[in-house]
Amino acid sequence: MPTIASSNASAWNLTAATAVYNSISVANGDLLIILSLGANAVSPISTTAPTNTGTALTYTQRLTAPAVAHSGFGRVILWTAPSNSAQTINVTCTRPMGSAGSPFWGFQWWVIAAGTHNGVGAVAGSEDTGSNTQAITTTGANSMLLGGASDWNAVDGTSRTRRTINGSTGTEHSYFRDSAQYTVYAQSYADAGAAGSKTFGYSAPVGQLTALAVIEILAAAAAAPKKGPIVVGAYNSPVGSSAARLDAYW
Amino acid sequence: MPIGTCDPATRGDPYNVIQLAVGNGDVMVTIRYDWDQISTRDTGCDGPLVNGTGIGNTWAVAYVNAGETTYYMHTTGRNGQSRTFTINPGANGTITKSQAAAQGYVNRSDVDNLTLTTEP
Repeated sequence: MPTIASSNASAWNLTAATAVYNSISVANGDLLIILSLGANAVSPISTTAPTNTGTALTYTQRLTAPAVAHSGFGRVILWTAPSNSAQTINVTCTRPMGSAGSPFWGFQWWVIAAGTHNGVGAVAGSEDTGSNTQAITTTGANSMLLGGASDWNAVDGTSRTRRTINGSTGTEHSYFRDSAQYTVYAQSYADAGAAGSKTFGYSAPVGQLTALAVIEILAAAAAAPKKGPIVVGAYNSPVGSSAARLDAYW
Repeated sequence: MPIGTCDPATRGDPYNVIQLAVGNGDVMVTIRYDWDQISTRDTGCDGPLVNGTGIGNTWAVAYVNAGETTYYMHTTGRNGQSRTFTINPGANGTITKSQAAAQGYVNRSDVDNLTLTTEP
């Protein structure tokens, strides 16, 4: 199953146009995932990719919603970036929308460990998922699901319930609420089970109006058994005794 | 965002609330603040931290750490000051607005860039 090597989040009451998260360590083969959430999807909608210090990673936008300004809805944008070397980087993200109505935003990040994943599978989400609920059809067995939501209604999530996928309620990475601004959720499920239809999100509290994105991280393929010709060698000991040894290798 | 304005009364609330939880919900801080009659949502609502009312509810900041790792609440104050509040494993407490003010937390803008981390 995919494994989270590390994860964390920025503040969720950021107001500046950009923010930096320092000292994210990535190894060769790791996969960095960044989920930016904003309180109000007003103009100008930004799809500016993250940047990082050191050797630049290539960031792929996996989902953005809404595509154009839509006041009265939250804002979500999801990025992935594979790492081809080991380094510790500072990542800079850009606020994904304007500041009118509410400037609040933030981002969650995860590093998926090399050797445990096989890249990205399905991605799903939208600006209005209907109360923190998102259907996604996974394409592989034992995939990980990661994602989160911005609740424009800022409903009180003190009593909140994550949905169950493959018998697990997963892990919550971030919950933030400013009752005058918005509520944020970020969560993961380590093993979504057999490929097929899943429902991601929170069943409570009700009354949310969420922009949500969820991504499938495929499990690494099982290592194929080694096979090949077997070479056999036999020889006497150097002392000249009759002892012999048999080596087999491939 | 929710109905109303920065004024919590427009939502029928006695105060605005900030909550932040990490560590699968094991660690959480709650901060109550009122409106300063000036700020707007466009710039981020601001106002003084306030206590709740009633027995056992007269606090402005509450914190809990049900995990086994020490967490640190990091904030940036309205004048750019960085502050850190330590939340030890097993902690479950509250502080009043006066106690919070003594530590530099006076207004909502004194808890900007709010994070909870395991790094001091």
